[in-house]
Amino acid sequence: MSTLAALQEFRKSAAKALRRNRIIRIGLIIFVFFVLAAVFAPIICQHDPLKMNPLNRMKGPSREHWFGTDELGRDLFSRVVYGARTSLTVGLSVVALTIFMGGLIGLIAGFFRKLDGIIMRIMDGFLAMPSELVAIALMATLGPSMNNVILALSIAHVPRMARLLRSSVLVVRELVYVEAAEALGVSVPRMLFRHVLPNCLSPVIVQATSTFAFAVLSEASLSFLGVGLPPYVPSWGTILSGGRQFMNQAPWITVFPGLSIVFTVLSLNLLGDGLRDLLDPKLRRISG
Amino acid sequence: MARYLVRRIVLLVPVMLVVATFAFLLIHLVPGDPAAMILGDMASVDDVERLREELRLNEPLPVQYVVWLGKILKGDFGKSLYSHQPVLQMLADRAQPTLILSISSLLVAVVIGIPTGIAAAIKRGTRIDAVILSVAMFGAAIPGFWLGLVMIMFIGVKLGWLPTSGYQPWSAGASNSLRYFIMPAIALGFPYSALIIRVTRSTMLDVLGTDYVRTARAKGLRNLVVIGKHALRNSLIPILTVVGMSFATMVAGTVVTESVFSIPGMGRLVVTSVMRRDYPVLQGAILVVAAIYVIVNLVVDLLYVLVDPRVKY
Repeated sequence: MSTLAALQEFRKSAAKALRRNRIIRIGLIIFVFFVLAAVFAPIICQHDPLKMNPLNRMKGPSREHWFGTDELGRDLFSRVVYGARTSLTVGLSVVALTIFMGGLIGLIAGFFRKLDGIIMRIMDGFLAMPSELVAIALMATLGPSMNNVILALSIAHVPRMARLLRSSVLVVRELVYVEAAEALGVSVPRMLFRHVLPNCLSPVIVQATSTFAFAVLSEASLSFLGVGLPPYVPSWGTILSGGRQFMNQAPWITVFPGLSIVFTVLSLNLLGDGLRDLLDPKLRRISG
Repeated sequence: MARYLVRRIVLLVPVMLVVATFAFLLIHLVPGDPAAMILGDMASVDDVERLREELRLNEPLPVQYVVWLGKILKGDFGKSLYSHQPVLQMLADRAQPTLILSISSLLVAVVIGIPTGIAAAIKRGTRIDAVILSVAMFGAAIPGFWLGLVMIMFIGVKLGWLPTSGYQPWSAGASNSLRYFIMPAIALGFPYSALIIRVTRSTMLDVLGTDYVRTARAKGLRNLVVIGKHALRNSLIPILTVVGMSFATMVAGTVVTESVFSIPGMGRLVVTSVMRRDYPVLQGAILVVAAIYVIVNLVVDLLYVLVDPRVKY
């Protein structure tokens, strides 16, 4: 390679790294925006998201009601902001539960060869069902509530996380330092959590962003279908569900929560893409 | 090849067994009497007892499981608790709209996804590439059901171009029937086209950088031949993988899309049976969707051989 070509190559890769960083930055800015809205909801909103006002139904956006009012006269802006709280709570809880349950299963399957076969067959069975279907089916039994939505979505996503972690564990457990730790007589829990787990985390972090996005999208569609959160809980899905019949008289009830979902999921996808490139240099070329 | 096929089919048995077990246990997940839960608070003691008999809930769990599994294997999926129709019949009656919707959504995703992905790869680094990538990024973030609602508002109601909901069977004439599926297919397919664009673009970029593509160009082959015959052909395996995956999840996506557009298909049946706690129907639907899912995956794996003669099983 000539010096000039090398220089061009270097410039190209530097520009790419910069572009990638920008992707993370944009994702982070949008995501933090929603997090702030969720945290400071009571300060931002001048109206109670639950207070109905029958005289003020389906009014368009105004200075008093920035996003207008919904089919029961509730302030839509407050409902959308509190909806961010619901979505992010569901998303975060699902991510935490999925990592905990899926991580444990994956760790055990990857480390204990004897259990691997049976555990992974069960996970394969769950992976043969689309996650949304698993979640909907579970909701039939669990009944509509926030905790149940979180539980159903987590169970639906555990097999993916378990499989991912298992495959990393299979690689890490063959590394020399694990052998060394084994030779030193390190206890099994210490081995798993101190030595193996920390080296399997980067794909988990990337997967966490897509689990989060899945949770936000699925909570919205479950609630929209009427099998997710109960209708009085302000969530983007329940707002869309309530506004659906009045879509033509009051399109704002459909537009604002929908855009909130789009931008939240977009920010998570951007974060995931950026992190994947950052944490896994092998993939950088492929996704370029 | 034949041996591989047999092995794959044998491997499906444990998978479907797990699915069946999940479907069976669904009803027992909550502590307490499933019969009382299904019927709700208003039911009389007699009614609850009758349902317990009907569902064989008085027998030990393992016995129930074996009896239920035996029936499923014989093709007896039970009867709906609500309409008392045979479950398999109900699913079959609603298969057509779901099938049309899934296939037309796949067409939308592929027809938009692959050419756009190729265009982005050819124009890499230009403004066109940037626009395509941003649209794909947004597209992947749009919930299909919301896209459906927005289309109903603007294309259906404001412009009045297409019917906003409902369904005409295939027998009413293909064009008549398909009119009802244009918006639902876009709602379900477009987010997946975003995924296909990204995979197509990145694999094409890899292939376009290879020596044999440079050789093809050096031979003076026309651009179209280089792209179509040399580059695309060699990018097909990852594209096929993502298309297959998309199709399998689209079948599940019909649940929401059919509800938005009031299409009387299997997906809508799932939602109503969840609301009515009609477990036999729900169990049947889970088994059927999972079966479609694994079969699609198997077919995709077999298609690899057609696409790439180097793949041998």
